[in-house]
Amino acid sequence: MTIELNVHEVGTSQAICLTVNGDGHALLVFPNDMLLGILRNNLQLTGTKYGCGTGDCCACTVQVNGRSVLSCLTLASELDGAVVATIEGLYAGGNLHPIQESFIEHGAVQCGFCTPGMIMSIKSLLEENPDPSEAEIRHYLRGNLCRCTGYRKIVDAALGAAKKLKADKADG
Amino acid sequence: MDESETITAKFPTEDEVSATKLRIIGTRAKRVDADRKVTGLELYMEDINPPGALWGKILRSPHAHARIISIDAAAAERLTGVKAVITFKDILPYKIGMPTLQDQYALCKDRARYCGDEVAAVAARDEETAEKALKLIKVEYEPLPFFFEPREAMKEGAIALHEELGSNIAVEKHIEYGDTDKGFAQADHIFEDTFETQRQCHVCMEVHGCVADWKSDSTLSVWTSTQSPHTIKRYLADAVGLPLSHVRVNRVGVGGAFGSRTDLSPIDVIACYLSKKAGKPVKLLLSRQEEFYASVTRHPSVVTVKTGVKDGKITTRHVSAILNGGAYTTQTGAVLGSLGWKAANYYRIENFKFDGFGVLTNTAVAGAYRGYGGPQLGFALESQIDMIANQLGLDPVEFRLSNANQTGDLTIAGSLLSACGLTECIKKATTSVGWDDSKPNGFGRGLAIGFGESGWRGAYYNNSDVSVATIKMNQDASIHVSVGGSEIGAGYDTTMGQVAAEALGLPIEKVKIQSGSTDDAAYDTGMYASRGAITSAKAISMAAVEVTRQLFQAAAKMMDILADDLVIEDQNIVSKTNRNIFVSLSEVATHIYDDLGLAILGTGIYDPATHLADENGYHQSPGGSIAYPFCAVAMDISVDIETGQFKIGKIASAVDCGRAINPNIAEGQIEGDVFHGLGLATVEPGLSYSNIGQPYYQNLVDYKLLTTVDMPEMDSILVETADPAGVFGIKGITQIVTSTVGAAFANALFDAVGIRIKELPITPEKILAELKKQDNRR
Repeated sequence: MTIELNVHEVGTSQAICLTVNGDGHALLVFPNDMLLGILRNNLQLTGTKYGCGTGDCCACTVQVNGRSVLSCLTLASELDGAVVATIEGLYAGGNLHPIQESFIEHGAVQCGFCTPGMIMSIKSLLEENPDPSEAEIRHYLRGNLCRCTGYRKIVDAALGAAKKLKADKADG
Repeated sequence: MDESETITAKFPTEDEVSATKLRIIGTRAKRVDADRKVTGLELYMEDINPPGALWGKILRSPHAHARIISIDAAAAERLTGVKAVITFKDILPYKIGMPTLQDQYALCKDRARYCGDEVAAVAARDEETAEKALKLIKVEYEPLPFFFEPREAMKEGAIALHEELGSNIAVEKHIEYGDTDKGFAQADHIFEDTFETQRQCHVCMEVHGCVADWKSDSTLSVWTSTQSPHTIKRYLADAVGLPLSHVRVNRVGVGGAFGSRTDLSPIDVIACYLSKKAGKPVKLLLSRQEEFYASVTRHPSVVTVKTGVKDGKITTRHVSAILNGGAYTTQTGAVLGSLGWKAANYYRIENFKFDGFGVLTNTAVAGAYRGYGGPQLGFALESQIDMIANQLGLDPVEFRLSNANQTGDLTIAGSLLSACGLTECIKKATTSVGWDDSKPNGFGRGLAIGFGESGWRGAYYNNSDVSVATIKMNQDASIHVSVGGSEIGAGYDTTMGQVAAEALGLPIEKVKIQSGSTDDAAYDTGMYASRGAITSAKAISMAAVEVTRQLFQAAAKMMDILADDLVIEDQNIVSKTNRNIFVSLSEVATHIYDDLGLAILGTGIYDPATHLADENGYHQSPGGSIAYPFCAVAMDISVDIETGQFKIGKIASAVDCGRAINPNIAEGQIEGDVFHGLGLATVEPGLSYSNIGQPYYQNLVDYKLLTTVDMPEMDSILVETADPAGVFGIKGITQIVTSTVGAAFANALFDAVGIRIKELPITPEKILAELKKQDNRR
C-alpha cells in the first residue's frame, strides 16, 4: 500500500503573530496558506467571503495595516506582526459602523455575499479620501463585483456613509 | 388615530384594494436580514461546518462527448485521507430534471455528454487530498462525435445524445391561436427577422454546492442555497431512496440565485451519497472555474419573428425559436413554452403561432435564468418593432402605444389583464430620458417594452401553484410567520413580514418570519416565475384572517359585545361603534393562552384560480399566471464612430408592479434586472467552446461582468396599478426588465448611428464592423 502525504504534512510550517480586530493570535501557518483561509478556518471569522480565489471579485477584501488587501491572494506567512481588520471588527459594543448603517438605510444589501468586501473597501476609501465624489467612489469600487444590485444603491450607501462619518467627526 | 388609517385586519376585497390606506406596505422598511449581512454574520454554504466534515470533489469529463469504457478508482481509494469514492454504481439509477423529461443521472452511467459532466466523486479529509485523489481515478473514454450548435445537432442522422430520444430535439412546442395564414394574407406589410443570443452565465457571487450529512439512522440533512427547499427535498428523497420524513433541506444564506438554484442539482445528490458512503458529513463546493463550465446557464437562442401589420396595427405574429438546451433537458421544455406563451401576450394581436424546438448539444446544461426565455424573446420582438416603425415611417413610441395592451384586455393567449400600466410605463420611461429633446450626432435613444408572469400553474410535480403560511401569535401579540418561499436576496422575508404586519395591524418589529428549513417552514413550491410575493402574501393574509377570527371571538366575550363590531386599531381590539371600549391585543392573546387554555394559530393555503394549458396550449382566463407585470425601458447612448465604443448615459425602467411592498426592494430588483440585461446585451461573452470541445471563459477576467464604472445612471420608476388579482394589489416583477434591456439598447444604437445588430452581445467590434459596412454602402 502506498502512503501519500499531503503538503500540510511535508511543508515547512512557520509561527506568526497576527492582530485581528484587536485580538492577538499566535498561529502556525504553512507556506501556501492564504490569509482568507486563516481567517475563515483557523479563526472562524467567516464574514470574509471566498468568491473566486483569484483576486477577481474582491469579496475577500480586508485591511492589513490599514490598507485594503485581497485576502485570497495574501500569503499568511508574510504577515508576521501585521494588524488585520475584518468585517467582524466593525460591529463593536452593540453598535453598527456608519458604513453598515448606511448600507441598511439605502437598501444596498440584497444577497449580501459581496457586502462584507464592499464595506471593507469603502472603509479604506473613506480613510484615504473622507469626501469622495460619486465618480471617485465608482472608480475605487470598480474591482468589487456584485451580481444583485447594479451598484447604484451601494454607491448611494458609500456617499451616505461619507456624510455620516463627517457629521460624527464634527460632533466630536 | 386618524379614521382613514384604520386597518381592518381582514385582507381587503378586490374593490377595497385601491381604496385602502396602507400603513406598512409601501414603506421602505428595513430588511430583516440586513443586520446579519452587513456584519458578516449571515451563514452561507461555505460557512456551514458540521463536526468532522469531509471535502467533496467531482471528477468531470474532459471530453465533450464520450463513452465511458471503465473507471478504476482503486488508487484513489487507497490514498491516505480519502474516505469515499463514488461512481454510478454507488447511486440509485434515478434521473433528475423536470418531470416532463428526466434524463440526467447525478453521475454518468456509461456516457459523458459535455466537458464537465459528472463522472465520479471523492470525499477526503481536506480539499488538497480530494483533488489529489481525483487525479488517481483512471477513466477510459471512447470519444464520440459532438455538437455545439443546435442547427447541427437537430439534423437528421446526427448521433443522439440520449439514444432513447432518437434525436437531439428534446422538446417541441407548436401552438396557434386564431388563423395566422389568414392574418398574413390580409396584412398590408409583413416583416421577418432572425435574432440570436449567447449563453449567459449566472455568475452568482457565491459558488454552487451542498453540505450533506447522512446519518447512520437514515436521516439526511442538507444545507444548500436553494430557491425551492420543499421542491428539491421531494426530488432529493426520490433520488436517494429515503422517505420525505427523513430528509431535511436547510436553506442557508443564498449568495445570488437568479434561477440557477431552482432545481435539484447533481451536486446535491453527489454530496448525499458521498456522506452516506463515508459515514461523515461532506461539504462540496464548486470552484469558480467549475462554476462557469459545469453549472447551469441561460439558453443560447435563435428566434425568428414574422409580423403582419394592417392599418398601423400589429395583427399577426409567427414566432419560431430554437433553444440550445445543453447536454440534459432539465428546464428546456418549460423555458421554451414560456418564451412562446410570452410572445403571444406582448401586444393586442389577433393571430399567433409559435414553433419552438429545444435541442440538446454537448454543452453545459441550460436551465432557469432570470427572465426565463424572456431576454431571448424580448430582444427579437422589440428590436423588430423599431425596424417595422422605421420602415413604415411610424414613430416607435406611438406605434407601441397604439398597439399596447390595456387594463381589462383578454389577450389572445387567454391572459386576463386585471391591471395593465403599460401605457403609463412607456410615457414615464421616455420622459425620464428626455425622449423629445434634440440629439447631437452619434447620440440616440431607444425604447422597448416587456411582459411577464407573476405565478405559474403547473411547474415541477404539481398542477398547482400553492403557497402555505401559518401564523402563531404569542402572548405579547408578537407573531411567528412560517412561509415556504426562500430568501434569495430579493427581500422575501422582509416583504412578507410587511404583509403580515399590515394584515394584523402590528408594527413590523413584532413579526418574525420563518422561511428556509423544510422542517420548520410551511409548504411552498418555490421561488420562481416571480411568484413568491404574490402567492405567499395571499396565504399570509388568509392566515391572518383566521388569527383575527380567534382574537375577535375571545375579545367579544371579554368586552361583552358582538364580534362583528370589532376592529384592530393601534394594537388594540376596538369597538367600531364606541371607540372608548377596547382591549389590547396582548391582553386578549394572554387571556386565550392562560385563561381559556387555547392557542392562537392561523393557516392560509392559497392556490390561485389559474389554469393549466389545454391540449391546444391555451390557458382559459385568467390564464396560467395570477397577474401580469409590464414594463418599459428607455435609454440613451453616445457612439464614437471612429472606434465603435459607446457610452450609455441613462437607463430608465418603468415597471407596473401592481403595488410596491417595499420601494427600496422593488427598485433593487429593477436595478439588478438592468445589470443582468445590460450584461447580456453588451459585455458578457457567453460560454463558448473551442473546436475540440473545451469551454472558453472560465474566470471572472475573461468572462466580463459590468463594474461600478460601467453602469450608467439608472432611474427605477414604480408604476402602481393596484392589481385586483393580487392581495393588496401586489404583483411580482423580478424578471421583466432583464428581458427588455437588450432591445432598448439595440434600438438606441440604431437611433444613434443607423446600424441594426441582431446578435447579442453588441460589442464595439461588432459596431465598428457594421459602421464600416455602412460606409462602404454609401
